[in-house]
Amino acid sequence: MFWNKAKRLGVLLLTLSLISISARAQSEYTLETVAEGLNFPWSIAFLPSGGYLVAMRSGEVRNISADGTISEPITGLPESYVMSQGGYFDITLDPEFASNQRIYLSFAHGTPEANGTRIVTGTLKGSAVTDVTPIFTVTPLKDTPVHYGGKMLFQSDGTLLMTTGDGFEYREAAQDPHNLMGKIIRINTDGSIPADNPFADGDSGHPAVWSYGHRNPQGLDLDPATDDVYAHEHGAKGGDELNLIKPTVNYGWPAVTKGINYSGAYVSPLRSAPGLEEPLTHWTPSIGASGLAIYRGDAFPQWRGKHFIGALVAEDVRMLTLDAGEVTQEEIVFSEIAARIRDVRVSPTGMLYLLTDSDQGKVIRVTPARSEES
Amino acid sequence: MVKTIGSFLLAVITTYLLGAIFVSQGNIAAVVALGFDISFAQRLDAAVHDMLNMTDIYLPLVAISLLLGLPVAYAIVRKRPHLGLIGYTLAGFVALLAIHLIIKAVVGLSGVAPTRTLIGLLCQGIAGGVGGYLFYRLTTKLQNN
Repeated sequence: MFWNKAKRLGVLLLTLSLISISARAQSEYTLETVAEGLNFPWSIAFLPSGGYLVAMRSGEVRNISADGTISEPITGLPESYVMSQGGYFDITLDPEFASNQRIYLSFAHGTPEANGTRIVTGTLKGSAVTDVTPIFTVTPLKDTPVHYGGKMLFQSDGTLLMTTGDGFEYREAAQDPHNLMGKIIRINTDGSIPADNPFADGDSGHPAVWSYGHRNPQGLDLDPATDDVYAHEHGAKGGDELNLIKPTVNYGWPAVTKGINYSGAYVSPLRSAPGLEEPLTHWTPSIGASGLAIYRGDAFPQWRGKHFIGALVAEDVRMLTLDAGEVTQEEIVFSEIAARIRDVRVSPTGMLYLLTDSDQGKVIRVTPARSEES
Repeated sequence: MVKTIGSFLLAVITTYLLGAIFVSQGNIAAVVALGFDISFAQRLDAAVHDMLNMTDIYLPLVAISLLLGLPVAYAIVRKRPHLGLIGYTLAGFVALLAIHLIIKAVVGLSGVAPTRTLIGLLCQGIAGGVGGYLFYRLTTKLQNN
């Protein structure tokens, strides 16, 4: 009897505290749909003009102006292998974009029998991209249309990181430093390999490999305050994880994981192992982590340093607080959108932008309550 | 009829348990091949875990496989009674093999990871074959009684 009453009281208090957190968070911001009708938008890159490019898994990139006008598809970009999880992935601007107008696009390249993640670069001129050149292709090519990774990030030293997936059927490849699947790779903007990459000599690993033991990382961002790089990756059935990315480090997949196979069987009986990096946090059941933004803007001072992680399955965004390298708090935000969140980005003006994942995908801007982005 | 259904259910459960153990050890073999040590206790724990947790997808797949495969054996064995043992065993073997190959062909991905290798696939066939054999033995015994 006592325990029943105690349990009910506990549930009541928990419910009230969650309502309180949710109400407090919602009073801080306004959600505004700034573009819609997009065919599976995957990533967003903000232009100096105030508009932004949106790459869509359906295999096109559109330029959306600051007032929300959606352009026709940008021309000149390569055809993609659009199938299942394949298509266009990430789009990012060169750090010197203002002077060179170069963009970088990652996408599924190839055929059903032989496909992989590729990066091309080109020059954006109005509604076209010219001088399109492939600078990197994940090898070996695979015969599955899933687990491509594809998130890109420029580090402060000017090198480009990209996540790669294990192709689902080839998960053991993630443990092979000579194989580019299930890795984070690091290249120069022309596709050449930086001389200080951990396996640059090619003896103990592929020269492009930066870190390994990844499953399908779909979030990658740099904290400008610390220069630390973070990535998250999908687990199988459970075991989504957030990691602090360091060169040479083995993040464990598939030898070590907190998740299990979709069949219900263990992927591995090991939950941890010496020499393998433990995640900062993990999610079981899976939230379907997608998109990562570390907030260092001015529009929401209370959010500085928070990690925002989109959730495809949970249909919300997770706001994490990190302290001394540990996740100390996780709050669920923007759940009122009630849609699969594909990407989360911070605009140059400090607003959060969210992409919803559907054939009628939206760009949603998060602004401070009673404030308009100019 | 009830006893035939009971025999079928026993065949399904046996195939499921054996198949789950094969899946379990197949997954572990892949981890060991990567250079990691797995103790006997961890193998045992994994086998128990997998037998208890593969009921959502794998168990129905096993049941459907045998539900389709064993009647085929029945149709053949009715005309060729001397093929009873080999017929039901082979039917179970082929049924399990076929379901994994069909999944791979339709979805493009393996339903259970160890079937990515020939040995893993054959082990699934063996689990089905044992199920078929058991079904034959149980139903034959019932008929003889």
